[in-house]
Parts: sequence; C-alpha cells; structure tokens
Amino acid sequence: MTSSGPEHPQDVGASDASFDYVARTPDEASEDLGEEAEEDETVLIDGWALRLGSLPVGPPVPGPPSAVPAPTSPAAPAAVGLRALFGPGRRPRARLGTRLGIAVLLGLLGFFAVVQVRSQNGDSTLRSARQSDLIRILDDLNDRSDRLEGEIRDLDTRRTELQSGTDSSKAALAEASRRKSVLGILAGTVPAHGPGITLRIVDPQKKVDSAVLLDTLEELRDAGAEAVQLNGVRVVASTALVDAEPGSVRVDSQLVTAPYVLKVIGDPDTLDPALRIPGGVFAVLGERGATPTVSAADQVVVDATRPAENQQYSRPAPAGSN
Amino acid sequence: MIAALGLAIGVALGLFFKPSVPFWLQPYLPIAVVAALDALFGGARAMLDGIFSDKVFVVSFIANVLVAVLVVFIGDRLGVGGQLTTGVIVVLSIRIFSNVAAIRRHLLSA
Repeated sequence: MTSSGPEHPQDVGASDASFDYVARTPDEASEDLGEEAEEDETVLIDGWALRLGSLPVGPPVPGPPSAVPAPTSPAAPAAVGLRALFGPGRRPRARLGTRLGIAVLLGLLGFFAVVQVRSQNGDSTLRSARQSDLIRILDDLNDRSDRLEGEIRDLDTRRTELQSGTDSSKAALAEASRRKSVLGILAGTVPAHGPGITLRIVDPQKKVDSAVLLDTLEELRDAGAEAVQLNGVRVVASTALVDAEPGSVRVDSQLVTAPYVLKVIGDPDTLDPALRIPGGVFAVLGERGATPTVSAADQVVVDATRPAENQQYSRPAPAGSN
Repeated sequence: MIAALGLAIGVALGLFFKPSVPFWLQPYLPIAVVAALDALFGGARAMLDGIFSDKVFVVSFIANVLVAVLVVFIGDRLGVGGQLTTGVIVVLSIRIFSNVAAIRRHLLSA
C-alpha cells in the first residue's frame, strides 16, 4: 500500500499490479482518495491511514460503505475473513487455467524458497560476510596455510632425520653387539666354542713351572689362539701365572695342579705345528720330562668365564683427540 | 485449494531434489523469493478484502519478482548491488508487514 498520488478508478488494478498487489475496487479507491484529500501530509503512509480509517477503533469513516464491511461486533470480521480465505467465498470461482497458473506460481515460490533455505544451511557466516571481511578471512587462511605448509616441511625434514638416525643407530647397535661378543670372548666374560685343540701336559717329574706354561701360552697366542682355558681357569690378557708347590701353578690366584689341560680355540692346523717347532714348546716340555699330547677337534668348548671388570676410572677417549 | 496443493508440491519437490543454487542465481533468488512472498501476502489480504482477482494476482506476482530481480541486477551492474538488495528487502519487508497487519486486523480484528 505504497501507492502515491491519486489514481483513476478505471486503471487502478493494472497500475497496482506492477508492484503492489492489492487491487482496489472503485469503492475503496474513492475512499482512498477521500482519505488523501483529507490528510495530504500522509501520502507515504496512506496505506496505514486507510487501514486505520477502516478499523472500528479509528475515526469514523465518512462516505459510502466500503468493500470492507465495518463490523458491528468483534467476531464478525474474523468470520468474514476466514470465509474469504478458505471457503468457496462470495466471489465467483476463477477459470481453471488461471487457478492452475496461480498454483504453478505458488509451487515455484515454495520450490525456490526451499532451495534458498537449503542453500543457506551451509556456511552461513561466510555467505553473510562482506567482501572486505571475506578478503581478510581469505588472507588469514592463506597465511595459516603457508604456516602449516612450513610446519609440514619442518616435520618432514625431522622425520627423515629421525628415520636415518634410527637406521644408523640400528647399525651401530648391531656393530656394538658384534663387538661386545668379540670383546667378551677376548675378556673371557662369555663362554666360547669353535674349532681348536686340546693340549694335555702330563708332568710326572713336577718340573713344569709357570715359566714353561707361560711360554706355551705365548706360543699358542702367537699361533692365533682366540680363547684359552687352563684346567678350568680362563686365560685372558691380564692372567698371571705364579709358581706354587712343584707340580702346581697359581693361575690368577687359583691353584692348578698337573696334569695341565689347555683348551684352545683357534686354527688347529696352525696351533699344532706352532707347538712342535724345533726348540719350541714340545722340546722344552720334553727336556723337563713332561709328555704333551695334542688332539684337534671341530668343537672345543671354552666354558670357563671371568667376571667382567668395571672400569672405574678410565673412559674411552673421543676419537681424534690426542 | 489447487493453489495450496501447488505450494505443497513445490515445497516437496524442493525437499526431494535438493538442487544447488547456480552461482549466477545466488544474489537474485532470495530477492525473488521475498518478492513472491510479498505478492502472496498481498493476495491473501485482497482475498480478505474480498477484492481478489486471479489475473491481478498472477500479474503482480510475476511483476513483483521480475522488478525486484531487475533492480538488484541493475544495482549489481552499477556496483551498488548490495545496497540495492538491502533497499529492496527493506521495501518488501515493509509491504509484507503492512499486508500482514491488514490480514491480522481482518482475522483477529486487533
């Protein structure tokens, strides 16, 4: 009801249809004109003025009775309105084609209204945001994406480093365990087995002393003996041989008596000739009246062990330091 | 009754097909819907006034939608699409309010 200015009653329907629906009957239009004639200043709100004027609580409507019946009781207009909306009504039924057109229009309205409502279900905050806000949001997102990409790169690098670190530490661990077994055998902390010889020295005259046994051990070491035990005592680098009663020797403060049995792990084909070289171990033993016997075997077990000694003071020097 | 049926069928189709709004239509669809709602309320009011005319309703419905969309379209071309959208929405809202007020007076006489 924003029509401005007086309209001719004849074309009021057509001109109203362009933007304002309510088509006024000539009766109402004339009433409208009458209202405007009375209140020239209320052109813009003449719709309100008109409606108010047609209400029973408003000022009494002058002139002929309008199409809207002025009710005498409050219940009457509701009944009229409902009948006009839903009942067959007092107006003649329109042609079927027009009614179908109205139905199609309303169907389109419902369809697009639902479509529009559904399309608003998603990112409603972004949809209603202004362009500058959107640009700011986009900038923020770009910055964040850049930051996160940088983070991804850093983490990738770290992952690669850690992976290679894991690999190298695995290799180091394998190497360390290999060295541990080698060093354990050398230090005598673990049992060992392998090809080797068993040297048995029978000493009936009790003339085999620690010096002879040490010569024997040195000769065996020269020939590549890797693990040696003498009568159940493991012989290592720090082993000391001390003379005791004739026919017996203290090996690392353990008393060992003849016959002496040396179990040696090494190459039998090297160890055996080393003992027999002229003027060597066998010759000395023969001079002392002892009888050495050597038997080679594929599996010689050196099962005597020594407790590992903890290094209390010495630490490995870093490589390359003087 | 056929009109109500058409409205129901339209809503059902919209719910059933769940179409997405094409990009070029996105600025105009809400305007068109509001304009159509305005025409709908105007029709209801006219019916209560007893002056409903099918022809006027159809013409005003289509014209309302077209004019509203055209105004926004021109606004877009002129670079004031957002402002004109707001303006059209305000105008249509005022009209809807006044129509609903008239309907309310008819139905509730208050």
